[in-house]
Amino acid sequence: MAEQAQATDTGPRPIVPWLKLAPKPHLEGIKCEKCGAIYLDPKRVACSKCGEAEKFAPVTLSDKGKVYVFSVVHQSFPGIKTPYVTAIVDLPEGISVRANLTGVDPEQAQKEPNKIFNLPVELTTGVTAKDREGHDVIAFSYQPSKN
Amino acid sequence: MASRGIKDRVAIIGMGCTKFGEHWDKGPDDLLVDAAYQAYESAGVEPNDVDAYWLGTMGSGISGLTLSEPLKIQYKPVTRVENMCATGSEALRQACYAVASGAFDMAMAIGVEKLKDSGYSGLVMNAPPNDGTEGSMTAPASFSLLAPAYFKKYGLDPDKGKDVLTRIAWKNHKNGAKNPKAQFQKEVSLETIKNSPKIADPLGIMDCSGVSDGSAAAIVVRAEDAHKYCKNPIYIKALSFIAGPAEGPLSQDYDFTTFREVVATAKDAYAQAGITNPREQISMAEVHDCFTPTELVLYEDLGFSPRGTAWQDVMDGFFDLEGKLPVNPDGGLKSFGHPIGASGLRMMYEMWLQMRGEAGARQIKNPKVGLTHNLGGAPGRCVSFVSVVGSQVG
Ligand SMILES: [Zn+2]
Repeated sequence: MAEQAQATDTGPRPIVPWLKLAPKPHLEGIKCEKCGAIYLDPKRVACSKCGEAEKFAPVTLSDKGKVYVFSVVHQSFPGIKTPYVTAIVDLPEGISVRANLTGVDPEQAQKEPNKIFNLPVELTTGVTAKDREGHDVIAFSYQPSKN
Repeated sequence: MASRGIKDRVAIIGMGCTKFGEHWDKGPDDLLVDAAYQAYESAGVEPNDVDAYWLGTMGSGISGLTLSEPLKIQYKPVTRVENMCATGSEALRQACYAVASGAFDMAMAIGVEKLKDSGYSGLVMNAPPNDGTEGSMTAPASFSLLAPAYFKKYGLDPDKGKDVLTRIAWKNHKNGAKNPKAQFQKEVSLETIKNSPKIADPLGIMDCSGVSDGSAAAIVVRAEDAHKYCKNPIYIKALSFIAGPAEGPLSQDYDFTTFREVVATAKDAYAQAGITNPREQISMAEVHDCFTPTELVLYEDLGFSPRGTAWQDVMDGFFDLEGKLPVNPDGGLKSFGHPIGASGLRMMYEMWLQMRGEAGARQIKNPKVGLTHNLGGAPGRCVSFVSVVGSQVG
């Protein structure tokens, strides 16, 4: 149980098991060795493309992708500052990731959505909260690519 | 292996439905008693005539006791079922199969939800906030993605697209204004809807269904027994329920302009009912308009409009009460409200009223074949239900 093992660490911890912090923050998926389909959640028990249930190998995912579609959220969970941009980001490995976009002006995105569709973005991380033991909890989002 | 269905083997002989809305003075018990006794009375039967019960609720109680206690059911089977926002339809499906199998002669399906004092706002279920993944995607946000994806795919300017969504909400309010049991019985202008406060762009508050309390119930028997109780029963022609593998949010071959689960349930239900051209053969439909873009996409997934053309049908009034294929004649989730466990049975209640000529100011002329569609989850990750019902056998 990866999550439990991490709970004994003293350092910051990722908010989801597919976010790895070392050597630098990146997403790690699992790949079906039979058909090559990729998934994020390491707890997956079967491949929905081919039915394989045994052979999955970890795969490092690109930290760059493109925005497929997005929404500007104006009303959210209690205590969450709005507006923010939430999106589906397509990675070159063929998988989609749900995450927020940072470094994009929500009002502007709403006015000119065509500038956001297909926008090249890159992974970024930050401290989102502290857990009960006082460790930093690290979440990820995507920001417009710098290069 | 096949989905054979139970076409024309089961009939609904009585139904009940509470007013939907903010029932601050009532609990789930009161709502269940109200809907159940309306159904008993409608069928002309005594509580003890019903042999078994299926209760649908997502969160207003657990176990059969949630129903047996308020109804004082005399030592009979009561099964509580849950299938997200399609819970009410799931209860009906189980009750229909139970009588079709011959295990029982008469069964009740009943759904209830008490949301208004549960802290449920329509935004928060159990997702942790702001974890950079699922949590930042509120329910309205996840459904809102359908809109830009659809607009982009079919070349609709976002403002034109917003007009299409607005007209769907406008229609449902116009229908709901004619419904004494609806939560919001008021027509709302296009301008008010279009400019309503933003929830998740491009959705405003008026693109979202009503959070409400309510209950609805149906009594079913085998079709050959129906006329013992009822002059004009309605017949079950198809029941289809599907849970998908939940790959949408992960898979780039899912483009957010469809619900694959709905396409699959429609195909299954049409095969069961012998429907080959839904646009022509279906007289009316109640569909799961949790948010306006959902209804837009459903028109195409259910085969009412060819791909990429539903928006044009919306603007042409095809789905209006006076249109060729009225959709959500009772006001839908938008205007009737969405007490989760009751909604699927509320949709069936409209079929019941319309086919018996009891729909009052919103009566459709002589509807013969109706469809209800109910879904739970989010685009790419959902459960879907489709039923086909008719006023005649055959
Ligand atoms: Zn595979």
